[in-house]
Amino acid sequence: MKDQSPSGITTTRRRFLAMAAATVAVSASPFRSVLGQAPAKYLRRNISAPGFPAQVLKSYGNAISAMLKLPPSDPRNWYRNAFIHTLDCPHGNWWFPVWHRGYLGWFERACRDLSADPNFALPFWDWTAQPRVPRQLFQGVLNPADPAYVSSYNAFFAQLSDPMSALWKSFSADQLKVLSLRGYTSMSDVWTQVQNDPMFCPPPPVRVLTSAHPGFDAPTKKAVSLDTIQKALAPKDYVSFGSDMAPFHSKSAGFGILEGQPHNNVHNCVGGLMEDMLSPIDPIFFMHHSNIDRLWDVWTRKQQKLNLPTLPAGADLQSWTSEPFLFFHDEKGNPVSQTTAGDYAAIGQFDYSYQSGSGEDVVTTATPQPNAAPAQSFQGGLTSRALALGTPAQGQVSVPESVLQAAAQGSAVFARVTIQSPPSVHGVSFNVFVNPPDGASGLTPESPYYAATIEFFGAHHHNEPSTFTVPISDALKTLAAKHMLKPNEPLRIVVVPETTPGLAPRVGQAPFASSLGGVSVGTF
Amino acid sequence: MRHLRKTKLHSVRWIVLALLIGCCVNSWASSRSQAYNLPLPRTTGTPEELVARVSVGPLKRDLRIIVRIRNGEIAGTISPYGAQARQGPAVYTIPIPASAAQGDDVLLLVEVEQKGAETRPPTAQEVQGIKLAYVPVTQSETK
Repeated sequence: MKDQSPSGITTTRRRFLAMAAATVAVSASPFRSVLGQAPAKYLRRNISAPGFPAQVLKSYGNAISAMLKLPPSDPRNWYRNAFIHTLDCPHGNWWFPVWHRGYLGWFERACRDLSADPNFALPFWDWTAQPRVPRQLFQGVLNPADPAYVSSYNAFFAQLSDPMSALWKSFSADQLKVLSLRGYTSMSDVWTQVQNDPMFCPPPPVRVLTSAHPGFDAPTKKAVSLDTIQKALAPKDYVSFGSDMAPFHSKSAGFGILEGQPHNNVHNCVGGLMEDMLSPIDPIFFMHHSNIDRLWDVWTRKQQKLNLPTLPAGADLQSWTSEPFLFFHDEKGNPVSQTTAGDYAAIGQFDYSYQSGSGEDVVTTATPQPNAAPAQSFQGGLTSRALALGTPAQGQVSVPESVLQAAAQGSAVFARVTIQSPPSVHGVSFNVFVNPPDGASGLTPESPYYAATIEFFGAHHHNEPSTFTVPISDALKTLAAKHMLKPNEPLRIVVVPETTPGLAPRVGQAPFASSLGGVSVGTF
Repeated sequence: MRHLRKTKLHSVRWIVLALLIGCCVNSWASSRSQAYNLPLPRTTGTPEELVARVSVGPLKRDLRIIVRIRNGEIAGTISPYGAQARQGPAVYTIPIPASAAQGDDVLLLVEVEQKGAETRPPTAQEVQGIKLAYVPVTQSETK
C-alpha cells in the first residue's frame, strides 16, 4: 500500500504511520530537559559567549579544510555540500525550519568525522546579542576569501561541472521529480541559474561586511532585535511560526517573521556568497542557521511548556511530515534513509542541545492562558462542495460541548476552510457563516451567523487549494447568547461567495466557479 | 510684562519653526515612501498580535522594502533571499507594534532601497497589497 505525497513522491503506508507515530510522540512529550532525562550528547555553543572553547572553531576549520581538499566527486566535498542547498532547500514555506535542521545535522556529523573531534558541535551566532559578523569568521578558512577557496567562477565550473553532471545522471525518478518542481530539468538549468544570478561570487567581495565594517545596518538590526525575535516566537501554532503552507517544498508561498526578518535580512546584509543559494560556501552560513534552529527549539520548548502543539495540527500534519527530503548524505557520503520532513521533526538522533541565547526568556516567562484547554482540532465533512455566485457550499463539524462553552466564555475557536482557488481571483470574496438557517438567502456580515470574510490575496498562478484559518469565536458567542447553539448538533460552516463591492468579478476568461475542499474547527 | 511678552514671542517662533520642519520632513518622507492607511480588521482579542501581510511581486537583486510605522520607526524589512524568492510572488509577515494603531487605522510608510539609487516609493508591481491580520500568540509574564 502506497500513499502519494503532495509532491507526488511515493511512501509506504507503514512508513508514514511509523513517522506519524514518532512525530506525535515528539509533539506530545516534553523534551528531555523538562523530564530530567540525560542531557544531549553534544552542546551547540554561542560563538561569542565568555569561555567559548577555541577548540570548536579549530575543529570547524579542520573539517572545512578537509572538505575543501576532498575531490569534487566526493559528496562531502565543500562545494558539493553547498549544492545540496542549491538543489533542494525550501524557502518561504513551512518546511523551512525542518529541512535546514536535517541539512545542518548531517553536515555536523561530517565535520565531526573529518575533523577527528568526536565532541564537535556547530556553534551558533546569536546575532540578536551580537549584530555583527564575529571577528573569528574573518580568520583562515572561516573566511571564504581565504586562498584555500576557489577564486573564480571559471575555476569553480571547471572543477564541479563533470562531477555535478555525473551526480545528475545518478538521480532517481523521485529526485528528478523534486528537481522538476523546482524548475530544474537538467544540470544545465542549474548552471544557468548559478551563473546568471550570480550565485557564485569570486572574491572580492565574498562578503559585503568586512573586518573593518562588520556591523549590521539599521534595518537588519531591527530584524534581529529582541523585539522582533520575541514576536517571531510568539505564535501559538506552527504555521504562523514556521512560514506559510505550500503544496511542495520548492514553492515559495509566504514568509513568517522568523524566516522573513532575521533569516533573510542577515543573509543579505552579510552579502556576497550569503545572498543566494550557494550560501553554504561561506562557513558563516552554518552558524547563522544554527541560531535559526536554536530559535525553533526555543519555540518548541515554549509550546511544550504550555501544552500547545509543536507541529502542524490535524490533517495538516500528514502533509507536512510526508514531504520528501531526498538529497542528504551521511558523514561517509552515503545517502541517508531518513528521507522525509517527519524524520527531522525533532532533534532526535542528532542528539544536541543549545547553550542559552537570546529569546530563551520566552520559555521561562511563558504563562498558560487562564482556563485554556489544550489545543484540539475536529475534522468535518462536506455536505455540498460547489461554489459559485449564488451557490454556497457547506460542511458540518461535530465538536464537543466543552468547545462551545469555552467559546461562549471568550476562548479562541477557529474554523479552517479550504477553498480550491481559480487562478487570479479578482472581485470575489467568500463570507463564512456559522449555523445560518437552512436555505437562508441574503446573508450579510451584519447577521448573527457571520464569522469572517476570506479574500484571495496577491497573484495565484496555480489552481491549488488554499486553507484559511478564520476566527468563529464571536459568532459562537453571539449564537450562544441567542440560544441558537444546540449541544448535540454539529456546527454547520457555510461559505458564500459574493462580489467584492466596487470590483467586477474577473477570473481569467472563464465564469467564476470554485469548490469547498474541507472544513475543520479547532482551538489553538 | 515686557519680559513675558518676549518669552511668548520666542515660544511662538519655536512652534512655527517646528511646524515648518515637520512639513518639510513630511514632504520629504512622502516623496520617498508610499503611505498605506489600513483599517484594523476588527477589535483585537487576547492574546494576539497585529501583523501586516505584504504581498510582493518580482523584486530586483539588491533591493529591499522597508516598512515603517507613522513615527518613522522600522517595523520590518522585506529582503528576498535567493533568486527564486526574488521572482515572487510571495507574502511577507511584518510584526506591527500596538502603538502603530491610531483609532481604527494603522498608517504604514513603505519605501524601496536599492544600492546606488535614491530611496523611493514601491511600484504597484513591487508591493501588490498590504493587509492587516491578527496572529494568535502565547502570553508571557512580561506582557
